[in-house]
Amino acid sequence: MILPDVAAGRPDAMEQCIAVYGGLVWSLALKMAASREDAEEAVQEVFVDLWQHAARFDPAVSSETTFIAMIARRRLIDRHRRRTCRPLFTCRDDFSEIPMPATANPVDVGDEVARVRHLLDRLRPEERLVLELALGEGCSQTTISARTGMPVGTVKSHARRGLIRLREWIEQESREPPLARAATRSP
Amino acid sequence: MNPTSHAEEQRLRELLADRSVFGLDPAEERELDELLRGRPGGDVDGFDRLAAAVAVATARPDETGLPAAVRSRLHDDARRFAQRRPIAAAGWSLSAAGLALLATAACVMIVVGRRAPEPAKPSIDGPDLTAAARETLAEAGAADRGPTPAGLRDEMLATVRDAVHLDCAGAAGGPDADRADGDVVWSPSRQRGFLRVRGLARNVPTESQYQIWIMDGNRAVPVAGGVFNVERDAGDVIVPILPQSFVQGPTMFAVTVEAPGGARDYSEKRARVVARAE
Repeated sequence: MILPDVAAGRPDAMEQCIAVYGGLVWSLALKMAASREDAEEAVQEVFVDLWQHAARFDPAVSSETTFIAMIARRRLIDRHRRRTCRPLFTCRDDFSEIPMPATANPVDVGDEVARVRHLLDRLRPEERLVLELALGEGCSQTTISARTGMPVGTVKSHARRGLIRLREWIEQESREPPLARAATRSP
Repeated sequence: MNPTSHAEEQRLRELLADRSVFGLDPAEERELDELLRGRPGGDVDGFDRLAAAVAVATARPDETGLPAAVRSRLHDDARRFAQRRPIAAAGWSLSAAGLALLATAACVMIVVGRRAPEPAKPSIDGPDLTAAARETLAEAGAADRGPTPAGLRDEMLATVRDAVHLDCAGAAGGPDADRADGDVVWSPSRQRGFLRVRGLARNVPTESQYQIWIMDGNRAVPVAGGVFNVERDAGDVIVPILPQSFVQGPTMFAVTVEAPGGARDYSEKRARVVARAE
């Protein structure tokens, strides 16, 4: 883990943070920023946020990857709100199919992300599709509506229901004993 | 749980879920604030964490990676943050507190040799820093003095493995051709460097300024590297070279005289000093 060292003020930890998580933050910024230039600015802001709030990271609550992605997404959404004339998120132009979950990531995604991947399979197809487009590809409600043919309100409902369902399953799993959890995950 | 609180709890989850995926509009923000007011200590980050985990789980890996220029700026930000020094405490000055900015400064405006008028509030400027980053880094600042540009130049020469050193000479045909000289230290990995020059004529900042340019073999147009003033007739002037774009392979550095603030385009006619790579 790097963030505890960042919080402790070790200068090389910040450099390490850039080396390990730079790619992750950059990929999130590219998807959610209004332009490449906007993404470059956003990445700088995200890392300053990270260094400033590193002490808030609690490994008992989330993985480091998830914490960093959360800080990044918050900053990116906040930047959008400051520039309300621009769309919230943009899709890649080369989008042609439902994105498949990455099988390998340059950072250690940890159990948390692996668990989410597993739980996504249990969602209704339309809920999973909307969440993958919104969160994985950074598409706006309008873009998802245009690509899927769903009304905008339905897109929002699927995203909301899907996320709430995931949260409920995670809360439920955390209350179950490990053996029961393993049985639930078995195909 | 009574029906009202159950409905409120449900609505709270909906809003938190919506916020974490698409964000909320102002009315929804107000509604969320209202609902959260009576629930101190709740896990309001839960949906944001989950959305982040889904984003990581479903994203296709980005194969391009973090651009080198952005990485370089982040390293600058990291050093600045670690040092917790003000980026500029009292205007642009090379003789006092403003020197701190040169540690990593992402600024194009450097005034050499004279203290600039002190602004009411600390000011931080430069194309490489976003407004929010400037604000945060300014808040992090605490010390009064930073390293000198000469010290930073020496440090780069001593510690940065790929730092190269080029001699400068007065541009042929220019008014300073016979008396101007100096050198350039440049690090491709840091995307930063220092110009040391002497013999340039003193300029009046409200009338003209010197501007640094970097000729990149991979670019048709030279990259601007910052503007500065010379207000002494003798002695070395050392200023950071801060390219506005990533420089792949510099072939020449030049200093021109321009209108205050610098020019958009390079003109050889206005060159005063040049340093050519072998």
